[in-house]
Amino acid sequence: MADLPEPILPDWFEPTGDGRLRLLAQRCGPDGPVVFPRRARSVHCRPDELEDTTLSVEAELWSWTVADVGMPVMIAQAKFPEGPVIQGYLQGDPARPPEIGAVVEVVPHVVPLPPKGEVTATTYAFRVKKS
Amino acid sequence: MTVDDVYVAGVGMDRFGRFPDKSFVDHGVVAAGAALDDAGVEWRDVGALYCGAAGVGLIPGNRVVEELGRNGAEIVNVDNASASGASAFRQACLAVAEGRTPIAMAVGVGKMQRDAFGANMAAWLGGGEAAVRKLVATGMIQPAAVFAMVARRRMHETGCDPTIFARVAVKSHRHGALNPYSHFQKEVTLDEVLASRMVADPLRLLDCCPTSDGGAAAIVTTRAVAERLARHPLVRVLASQAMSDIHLDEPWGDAILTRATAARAYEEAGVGPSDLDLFQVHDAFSSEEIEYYEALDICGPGEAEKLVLEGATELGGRIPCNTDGGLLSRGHPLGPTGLAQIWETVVQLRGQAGPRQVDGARTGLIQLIGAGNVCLIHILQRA
Repeated sequence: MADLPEPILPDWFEPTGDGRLRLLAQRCGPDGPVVFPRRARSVHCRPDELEDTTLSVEAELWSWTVADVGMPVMIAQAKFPEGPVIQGYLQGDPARPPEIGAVVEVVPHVVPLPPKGEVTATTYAFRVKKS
Repeated sequence: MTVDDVYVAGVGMDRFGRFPDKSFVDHGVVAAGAALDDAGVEWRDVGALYCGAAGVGLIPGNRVVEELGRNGAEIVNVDNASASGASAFRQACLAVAEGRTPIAMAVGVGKMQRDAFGANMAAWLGGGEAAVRKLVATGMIQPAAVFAMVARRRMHETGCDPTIFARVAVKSHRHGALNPYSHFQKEVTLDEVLASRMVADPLRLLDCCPTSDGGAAAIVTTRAVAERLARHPLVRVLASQAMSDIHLDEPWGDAILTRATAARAYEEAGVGPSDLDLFQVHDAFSSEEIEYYEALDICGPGEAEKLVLEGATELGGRIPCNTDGGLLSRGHPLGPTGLAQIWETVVQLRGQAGPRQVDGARTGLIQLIGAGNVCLIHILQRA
């Protein structure tokens, strides 16, 4: 992400080296539930049992919307093979929305920061995978 | 902790809407005064005041008390976003149930800025830039967007279309037109809802609640005091339950949370969904309302659309929902919203709802969600 603005938050994602991102998650032991983003504690295990893990770079498009916030912004939820349904931006043409169930991949996405949007940062987004 | 022997002695409202010349304190004083008059209780006899408010500033309850008069009552300010007023009501019920005071008041106040979420995100959230970045990082830049995605998923799973959501908005505005305290008091047609501006596809402007100002209050007491006051038919608090979120796998778990909280409430009350005569829910968005039909077991999974099409949740239907117009029409000033639901349910159970009256109403349920991770459910019954 050398040519992108700074990550919006530390420890939320890492580059895969092929232009995509991997979300940084955690789980309670090898078979416990997976959560994103990482948290200080879990209701399912002791803090010393929390293990860092990563999510797949591909997921299933669960739902989407085009929000009018002065301009159209596409937002989506994606269901990951590890279990969580995660919300993020959706890249693409708002006039040609994707089908629910499509395979999406996690990619870098530059967003303006409030209050004025003059400062930008890099977060993650979903993009429909080209077949 | 249950709420044995807790009764609603009085309720009061100050109209919801946009009132740039009034402060939130003004709204609170009017609502509290109306509740005192309704109950026949003097302010000096109220032993505890719980004030529900979100984003209005420091110590709102204390500032309302400054206008009512310093009576030595315990004051607790409660911020639980949309559920602030409902949470304040629960605290008042628990204060009476625990014997801390025979008479407690819950008051809710609200004064919202336009585009409060977007333009003033940092001020609303607190916690500085890191808190803002956490929301922006996930695309949490517009409350309607989350509910729009739930609505779209429902369309995918049940095959329904946006006209179902629009019908809910039409129903709510029809109810709101009969409520003198409602923010909007004008009916809308299905065509008007479907032609209104798209906010977050598939939700349009009239599928979304307004940002409102207003106040609402309730006074709770013991049966002995309520019988002595003898102002109205007695309304008992059968259940008061509150839970926070436990789901991990979904960004929107309000229906799951509602189902879990409702199970506790039905058990505490000793009644079930078939015993309800009316119910109020958190309909910040039209599509949200029908999710709760199923979560509250008013109907089975996937049957909410049928309820809407049959008109079952309209006044005159099998089980009317949001009889005062709900958040969509009555308005949603955050702090007083839950207490407006209490007000409406109490006047219904007393038989005082005028043109909105549900015939023979005896038992009502009130559900409210706060900030997507707390749920309050109360069940009231005419004694």
